[in-house]
Amino acid sequence: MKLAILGVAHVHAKGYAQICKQLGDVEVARVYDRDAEAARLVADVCDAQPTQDVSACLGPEIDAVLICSENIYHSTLVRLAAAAGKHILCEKPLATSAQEAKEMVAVCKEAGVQLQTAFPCRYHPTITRTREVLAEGVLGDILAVRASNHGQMPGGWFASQALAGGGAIMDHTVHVVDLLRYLLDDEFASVYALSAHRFHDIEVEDAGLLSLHMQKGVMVTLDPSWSRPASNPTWGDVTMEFVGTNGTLSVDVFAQVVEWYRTAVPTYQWAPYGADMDALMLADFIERVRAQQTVRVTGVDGLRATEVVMAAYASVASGTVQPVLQETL
Amino acid sequence: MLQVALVGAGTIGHVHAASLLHMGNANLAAVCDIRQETAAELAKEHSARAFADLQTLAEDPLWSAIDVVLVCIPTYLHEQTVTLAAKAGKHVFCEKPIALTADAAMRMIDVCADHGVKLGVGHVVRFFPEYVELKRKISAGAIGEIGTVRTFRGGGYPHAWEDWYGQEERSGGILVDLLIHDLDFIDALISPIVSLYTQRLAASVREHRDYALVIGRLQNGALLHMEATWAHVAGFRYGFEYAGSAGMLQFDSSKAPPITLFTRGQQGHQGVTVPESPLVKSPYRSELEAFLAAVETKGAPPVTGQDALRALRLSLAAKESANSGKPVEV
Repeated sequence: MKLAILGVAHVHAKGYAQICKQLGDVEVARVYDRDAEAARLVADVCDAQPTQDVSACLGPEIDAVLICSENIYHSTLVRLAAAAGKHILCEKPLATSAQEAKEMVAVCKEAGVQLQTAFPCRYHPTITRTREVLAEGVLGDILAVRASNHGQMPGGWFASQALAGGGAIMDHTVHVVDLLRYLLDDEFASVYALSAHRFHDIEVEDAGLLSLHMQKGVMVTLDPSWSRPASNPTWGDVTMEFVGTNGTLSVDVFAQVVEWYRTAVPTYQWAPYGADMDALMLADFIERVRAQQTVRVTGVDGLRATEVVMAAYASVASGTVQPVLQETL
Repeated sequence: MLQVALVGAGTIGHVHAASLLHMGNANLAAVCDIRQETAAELAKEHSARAFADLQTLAEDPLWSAIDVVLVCIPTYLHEQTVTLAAKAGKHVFCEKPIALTADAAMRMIDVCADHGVKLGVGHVVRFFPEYVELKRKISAGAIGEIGTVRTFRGGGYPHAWEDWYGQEERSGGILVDLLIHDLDFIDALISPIVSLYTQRLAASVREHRDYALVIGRLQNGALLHMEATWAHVAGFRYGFEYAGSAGMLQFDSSKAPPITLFTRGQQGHQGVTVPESPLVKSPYRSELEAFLAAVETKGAPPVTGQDALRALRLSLAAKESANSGKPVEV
């Protein structure tokens, strides 16, 4: 099976290249980016051909593509790949508008190609176990969830409105939104959101808070802020605490760490030993494409998460609670 | 020596009584509680006299010797007791929240002012050493400009006399009784709170389960996230996270205790875990000392009735948002 990586702007591109090299029976043949040097750096990791020409990545020998470009190019690259009949794994957020995401889903459906949104957290064993606990019903009815997806400010194009389509809210809303949709089998109904520029001199928001309501009545807050300082022992977090009628469940997806202190650096870091969820996601995507099965986390999942982001920005703009509008497919 | 009367010998009443044991300038002279045995027991420990309520004490010759009344009874009873004490010229230290409505709080402030007595309110979080250190660090610019403030407070449902916490008309519910701690600290000592949006499980609907997630904005531009819970299985925790342009300050009370005692259970019973955080002086004692010092020096109490009214208004704003489903400007 042959893959191409379309765009390497996203920090995950290099990691995906490394994982593919280790997976065996899959080969990354081409790596495209507008930036030749960036393409070469990732291509070198997986012994692929770097190119500045997308069409070179869409030849008949390529089975599927991994789209890791800046957010705003997702749509264009998905259309090109779909037109060429390639199955697609696209970085999150799927798109920077709900309309765009809807069209991407439609285009792939028409072309008969699979579109997966890269929500790797779904593959984490901690989330698998969380879903089991929730399904067992030991918590009773779920009433509320307090969640966070904090991070350090990623910099570069992530801080560019033109390339990312937004800041912390655009970057860090979709993971937890997707997890809660998956874990609670429910959709989001409304959101009240706040946004601010507080931590860095950048053009997009670096602080945000979302207070959400799900269709079955569960209340949720989510903190997507890029609020972690440079000395934070890790990049950030994904946490959720579920409050049920019979108990609570605390989930900290990246808590499996060894604390690492060094003489040379006046701080400490976390050395993670938890599952490599990116590897689990890529292996599953490749296996399902090969078996001609529907991918596990679809473009529709990416669309639904994008709709929540759009409602959050609408709330920020209006200062009011906004409904989460769901595109009909 | 200030002579002190305690009204309400519940949990917090016992805490204040214990603080008085260590003070050289005050003496617990009377303990009032409608639970006669409870009152008698605590009074005995302090060689004080026990009374059923403040009215009964007011009819006793001891009344004329009382300088200060500590009001540690359920919130809905605050006003009548504070009014009785103030009209008799006694200084009043009242537990938080001052009252259930702004009108009641204003009447209490007025009656104390009219009779020339001090009114102090027990917003004790301001005296907790971890919050004192937090304030010191923030003031020193240790994290630069504050970007986000996160607080949490709560645990299991507080079971108390006549289950008064469970009745909105007696306790005000979690937003008025519990969240007020963090609202007061942030608003008074960090930056005024300018807007709030609340989602809450109503106590009336979910018996013995009250929970709120509140977000908002501070005058300095920071975003605010607050969690208050009486929906957890057991225990009590509180904590904060202040993230700023130059750093971050975090505290979690469940990780803080330097001493934890584990005892093995007997014959199949579960063991017991008791964490403790010993201090030279408890925040409750610091709080009471500061109030009594204000009485002695005729200065302003550390937390005034007006301060408590402001905090109450914030709780009521959070409640208004929960009820309306809309954000509220404060």
